[in-house]
Amino acid sequence: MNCYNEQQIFDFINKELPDSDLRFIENHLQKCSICKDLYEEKLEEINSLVTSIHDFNKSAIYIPEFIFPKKPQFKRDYRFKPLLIMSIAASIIFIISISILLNSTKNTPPFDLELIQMEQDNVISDMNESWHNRDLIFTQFDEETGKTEVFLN
Amino acid sequence: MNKLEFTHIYQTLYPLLFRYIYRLHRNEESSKDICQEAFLKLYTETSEGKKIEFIKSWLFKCATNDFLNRIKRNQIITFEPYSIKSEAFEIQNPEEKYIKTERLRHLEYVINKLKDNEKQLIYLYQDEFSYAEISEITGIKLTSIGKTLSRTIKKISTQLQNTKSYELL
Repeated sequence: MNCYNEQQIFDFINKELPDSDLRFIENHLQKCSICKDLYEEKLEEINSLVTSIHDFNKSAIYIPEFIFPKKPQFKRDYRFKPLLIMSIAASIIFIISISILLNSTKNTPPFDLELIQMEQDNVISDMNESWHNRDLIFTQFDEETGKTEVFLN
Repeated sequence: MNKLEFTHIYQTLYPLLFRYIYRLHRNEESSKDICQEAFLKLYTETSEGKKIEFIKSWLFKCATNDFLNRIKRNQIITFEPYSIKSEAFEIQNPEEKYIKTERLRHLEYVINKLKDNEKQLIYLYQDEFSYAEISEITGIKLTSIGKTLSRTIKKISTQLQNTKSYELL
């Protein structure tokens, strides 16, 4: 005969087992004196504790009147309201300053582009000058002697 | 849920909820606050059309969470003396009265030494909640409820036997 442990007996007392298990244990308790003793011991332990705790109860509990809210309360989170206002203001200021900056740059001549253009012109004029001042070198190879002669213009 | 239905629920469940919260920390004022908050939340949510299937468990869960949050934020002062039910003092026999009072003092001492979740379990069990409801309220796994409860009851019984009277002073 399989006996039941303390936990199973405890769950049986609380009726926290499937119906079939409850019936099995109930039948078993009628036949087995060991389990029956354990059952009675557990039951006594539980009842004693539950009644004792019950004595801690306040003798009379006053039920205050419930005041119904006028409208159903909707949750609104106001914690970030100042932060929200500040971020909106900052973004407006940012947009305005960007637009001002863009307008001002549109009217002024492109100074950087002018500089680049001047540099390019200088480079081209330098190249032209060096082309005019170039030195021409002619070379002549003598097949008989096998020597190369160099002439400047 | 209309006002009449809500009032009926309030009248029925308020004493149970108050007693549970009060026993956890024994502070009458904050217990009242927690109960009011829980019922107000229930009313607000049901007015907004939310369907709550198990109102009793929902209320207890809501109040327990509020209680734990207040404990975390140190908003609760605990340990007012227990007001022991007047029946305990209606006993005429002085010897019997002494024995009962001593037993309650022992029990109070032992329960105070329990962890918060163990206290919750014991009080919910005493209020005849099922394992499933206790699990929902406390957040402890359903499969662990029976074991933890059984262990806690065993612990209380053992400590009740081992606690000496001089320890209570």
